[in-house]
Amino acid sequence: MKQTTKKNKKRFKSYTIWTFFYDFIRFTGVIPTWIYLRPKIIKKGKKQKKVKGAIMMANHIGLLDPVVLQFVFAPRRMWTLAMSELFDKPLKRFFFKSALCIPVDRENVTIDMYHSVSDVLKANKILAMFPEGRINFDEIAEVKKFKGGVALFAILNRVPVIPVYIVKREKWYQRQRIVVGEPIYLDEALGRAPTPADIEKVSELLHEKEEELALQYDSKYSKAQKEKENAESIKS
Amino acid sequence: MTREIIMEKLKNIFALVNGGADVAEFSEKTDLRTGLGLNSIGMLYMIIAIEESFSIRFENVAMGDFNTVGDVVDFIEGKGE
Repeated sequence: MKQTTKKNKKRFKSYTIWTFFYDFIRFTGVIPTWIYLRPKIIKKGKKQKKVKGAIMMANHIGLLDPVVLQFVFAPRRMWTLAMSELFDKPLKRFFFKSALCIPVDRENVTIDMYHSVSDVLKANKILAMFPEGRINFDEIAEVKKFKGGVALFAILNRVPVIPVYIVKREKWYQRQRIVVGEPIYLDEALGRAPTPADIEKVSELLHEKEEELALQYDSKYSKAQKEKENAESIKS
Repeated sequence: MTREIIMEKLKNIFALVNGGADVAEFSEKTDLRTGLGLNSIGMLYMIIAIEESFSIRFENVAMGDFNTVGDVVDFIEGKGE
């Protein structure tokens, strides 16, 4: 195990061809995406800065979500779990590998995916995951039930989970708001080898935290919206 | 490592991934999903636990490659050779 960790550190510290392409994509894409999204990051608490290796879990509402998440911990590099269908053609495979995506076969999970995830987290890097499993195209942006991956990976690799709520933009020109919660440390609470029931419970807990974040934002936003409407009606 | 020793070690792993439930009644023919009630996360967790317990590293293995306990034993035995 120690050997693997040493190897990982070496691998992740040095610049590889993939990190070169990733940085190239980021630096060339940052200005157009920033102009298009004008991201506003709303951080709850100040503990996010101290985090080393962590899983960033977010609701999945659109194709641009992985791009949106890049802004949260910028300029740190971010690895993302992506469905294996995106890697089916050579050019797509090259692009998504360059974007530091780790393929996940949702129907037939592979152990190699776990090894890649573990390598990333052990090297104190940020991994983005969408625990809903797929894009939620529903009109009402309700956070769907979480799959167990985030809980399992966070517990076994002893890394915190950072909940992130991506606010749905009603109009394309609106600013992209991203609410970032405080890191959640799971291994401290458990203190023993987890069972699948524990993983299920932790997944539910993470789902609650994500919903909490969404509710906090929605209530604040709707309050501000009402105040704005009231002010407009008084003026008229 | 003999198949009996592997089976004995697997008993503890199945107990862990089964939430501490009794797994005395299982053989090489027991189905991992229907017999032991493992879902995809349970299967992944089982493989990780096997890696730790047997100090081996699985590569190019998907959860669909294992259907019965015997398949897992075969794989571990193959790795030990």
